[in-house]
Amino acid sequence: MRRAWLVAPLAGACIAVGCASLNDLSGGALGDRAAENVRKVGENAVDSAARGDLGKSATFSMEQEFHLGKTIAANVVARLGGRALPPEHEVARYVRNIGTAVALAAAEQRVESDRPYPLNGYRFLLVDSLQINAVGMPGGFVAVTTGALRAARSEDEVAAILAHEVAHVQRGHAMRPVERAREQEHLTETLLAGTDDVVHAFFGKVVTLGADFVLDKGFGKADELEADAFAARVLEGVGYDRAALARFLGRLEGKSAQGGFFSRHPPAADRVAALRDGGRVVVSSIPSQRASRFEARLRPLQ
Amino acid sequence: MGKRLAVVALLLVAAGASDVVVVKREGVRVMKGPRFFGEACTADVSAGQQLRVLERRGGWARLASPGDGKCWVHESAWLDRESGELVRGGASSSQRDVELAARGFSEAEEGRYRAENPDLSLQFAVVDEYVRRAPETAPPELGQFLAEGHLGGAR
Repeated sequence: MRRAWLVAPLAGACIAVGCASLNDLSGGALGDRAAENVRKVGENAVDSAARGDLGKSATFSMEQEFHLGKTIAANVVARLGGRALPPEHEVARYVRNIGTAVALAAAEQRVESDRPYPLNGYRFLLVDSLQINAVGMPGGFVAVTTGALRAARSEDEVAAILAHEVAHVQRGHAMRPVERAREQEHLTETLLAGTDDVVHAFFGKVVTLGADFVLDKGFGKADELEADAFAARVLEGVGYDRAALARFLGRLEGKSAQGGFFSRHPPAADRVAALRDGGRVVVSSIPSQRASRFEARLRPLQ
Repeated sequence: MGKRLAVVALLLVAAGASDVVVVKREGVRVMKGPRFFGEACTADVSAGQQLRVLERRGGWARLASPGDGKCWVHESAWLDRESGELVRGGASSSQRDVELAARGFSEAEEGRYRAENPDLSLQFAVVDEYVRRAPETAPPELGQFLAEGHLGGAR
């Protein structure tokens, strides 16, 4: 039963990844083999899952993940509008303070299957965009839009958004589509035997694939709910209100049509319900000092 | 009986002496207690440095030095994944895994990608700026931020 539960979603996911990467690779032997490969992707995934082998192929080192994440981040910034506030901006510094606290609390809750801490630590990029969006990427890059900050009503809600994205990084969700693409048998052989140009073409597509997942496709319902639950624990670890994420989601329910943070996630109502099932939802009052600094620090965005 | 105890004691000493970790990244926090939200030691550690561990508690290790046994570092400082290491462990990596990992997304690969995508130069510049000028908040500033917000140990 457990095996069947594993096989179906993995096969589906791998087929999607295989199509995204293979169909775009053009020319040469790889192009000729594309149709056959796409069919084999699903079969390989099913076989691998049945053998329990999926996930046992080589992974990226943390240094490789850093360079990949950096390249994906540049693509994400471009797709979000291309402009970011300078790192020294008052609001960017405020986001960095919150993000650092969240990332450290998350590190203290790590489990063995998590990714190691990012090689160069986390980077919290503040992107100037009306879109309500936040993105966790490989290598510890987290982008959040000014639109998301404007939609938040407290520092605790900003922390909740960041904690959700840090969860995607730490749990390895952000690297999974990339690793899965390389795990495919035919891609493995191509990478091992191919020329540098073939490898380069593959990684060019992997960058696009990674940006597609973190921005548009999302990581799937299970990963999203896991990231929500993890975020709630992290918030509590810092001292923030663990109900902040549920409150943010509940208030913005129905925003999926506007794209961004909500379009690639399960419905907000499902996420709020899962957060409530997952533990206590104690609405604590936010200290006045924290409330007033939130107002003051975000004033430049008004 | 006495000899056996002596052997056991020697083994324990040897085990303790061999508990050395190697720092894998920069920006590691050296704290006065086994927690991030507290006072930091003034000492620094850097990537490649070997640290002898006196005691482990949770994910934290108390160091022989720096700090004369009074400083702690979290395991996130040394946990890493080398090329070819497995995604979830449980089996040894094959030669194929190692070779495959070597063909990963290197710095050179990033450089080549950048050269071929000049339309992204502005966005790469943004990311570079954040990498260079926006590291995680340092302990003194973070401590103040947490205290002001009634967070961490200050709540």
